[in-house]
Amino acid sequence: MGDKLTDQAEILYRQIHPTFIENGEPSSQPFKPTEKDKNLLSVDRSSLVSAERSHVAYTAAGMSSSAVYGLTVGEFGTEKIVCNSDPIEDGALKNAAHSVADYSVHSASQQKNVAKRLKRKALERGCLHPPASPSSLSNTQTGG
Amino acid sequence: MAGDTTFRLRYVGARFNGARLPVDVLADLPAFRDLLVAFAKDEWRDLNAGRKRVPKGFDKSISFDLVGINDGSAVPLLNWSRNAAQENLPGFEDELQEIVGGSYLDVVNLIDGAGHDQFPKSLSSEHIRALNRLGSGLRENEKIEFLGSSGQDGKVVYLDSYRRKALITRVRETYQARFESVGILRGSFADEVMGRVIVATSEHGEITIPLESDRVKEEFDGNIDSEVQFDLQIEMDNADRLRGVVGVFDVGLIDVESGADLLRCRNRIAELSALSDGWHDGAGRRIADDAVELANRFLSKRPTLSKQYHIYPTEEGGILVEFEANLWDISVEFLPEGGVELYGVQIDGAEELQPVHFSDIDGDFMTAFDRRVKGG
Repeated sequence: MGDKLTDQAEILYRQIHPTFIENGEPSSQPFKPTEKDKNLLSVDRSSLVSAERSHVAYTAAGMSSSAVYGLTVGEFGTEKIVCNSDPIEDGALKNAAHSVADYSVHSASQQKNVAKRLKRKALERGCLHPPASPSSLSNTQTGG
Repeated sequence: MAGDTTFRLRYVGARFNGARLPVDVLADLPAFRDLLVAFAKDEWRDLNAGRKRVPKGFDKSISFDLVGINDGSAVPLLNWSRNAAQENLPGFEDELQEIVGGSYLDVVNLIDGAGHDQFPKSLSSEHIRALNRLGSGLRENEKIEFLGSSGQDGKVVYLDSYRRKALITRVRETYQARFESVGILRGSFADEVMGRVIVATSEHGEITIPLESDRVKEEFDGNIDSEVQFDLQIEMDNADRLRGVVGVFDVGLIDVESGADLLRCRNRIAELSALSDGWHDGAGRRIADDAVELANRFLSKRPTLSKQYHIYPTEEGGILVEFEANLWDISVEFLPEGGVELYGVQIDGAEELQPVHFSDIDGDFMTAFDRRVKGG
């Protein structure tokens, strides 16, 4: 893992899988790591990539995303979540902007409500890509 | 008063917390008294061989007063007054005190026996009538403990819906239970005297619900195939087949908009249940049948909230319902291995409800859910 991110205002992008959006509203689940993530939520740094480029690169690697939402380093910090750069150097997922938000201070059970609070902040900021709201999108924007 | 006897029944279940005693279980108290009197008459006859009838005033001499409700879920205190016995059956106070105590043991032993597959060969109609009313308002995972008693296993004796059913169906063919769900209106009939609606349910097929003629004409006529929400007391046989509706707590059409929202939610669950393993970019398990079944039952419980629900799969193979109500952002998560979790955060505050696990969509869950949704 790389350096700790210190710019509290920097937005970190999070890709939302189409199945986690219903009636235009994302679930809280994409705002917490899954079991396989081992407490580390993948995000992309806005200082190194735009929301659009982040989405294009993600779907080009064969993953599905209907929308990009964002949270700042500071907003993660209010939940005691530290963010670190974590560039991926090689392979199809090569991504210099890749970073991780470390949820390990919270138990899996506690992470559920943390994700709900973070989702609410991300929704206040709005969908960062595509410009239209996810409710107007088809449910399957799959790249790759 | 000296010589008085106080019985303590402890109601266990979330809706009884804080010494709350919902009015629909108050009918248990006269039923308990009537069951005890039925046994008291047996005791009297045993003590007075040769007498077929109990003396005049016997029934009135065994009256109970509700003298308080203690905390710890809810513990109603039922007091037998020696003075009242003296007024109604002068000279028999000592004998009656002994009989009341013995009858209470009879009630407790009857219920304890049902928990150990031991049943009386027969009971009088008086016993059965009282028994069929005692605990009829209990929901799953609720019970009445008879404080101070000790069963065959050394633990306090309790009555729950399982023991009620076992006991009542052994001494008669049917038992009563609460039935709360939604269905589809298949027919409505009304004459000068009475009316009825026929509702198709997934649980018990078509059921006939008696209603006042005016209500049938004004609310149900012309609405065939509409969704109906109901809360009933039903009679079941010992094979869990519906015999009929014996009481109607609530029945009404779900308005068209709510019906459309309910359909959207059901369709969404059906859509999620069709997901295959790997639906989440290679991860994500197929949605477990248990989670689908629980989620559908949940929708039927509070269909008018469907408009607010957003429904998602979980990567582990469960279903997550998220919605806002009462200034809270609430989640209900149906787990792939069965069971359900309720959690949430206050929208404009720091309060939160950490995940609470329930084994089923039962009375405990619905009480906790309603409290969170409605507040209080």
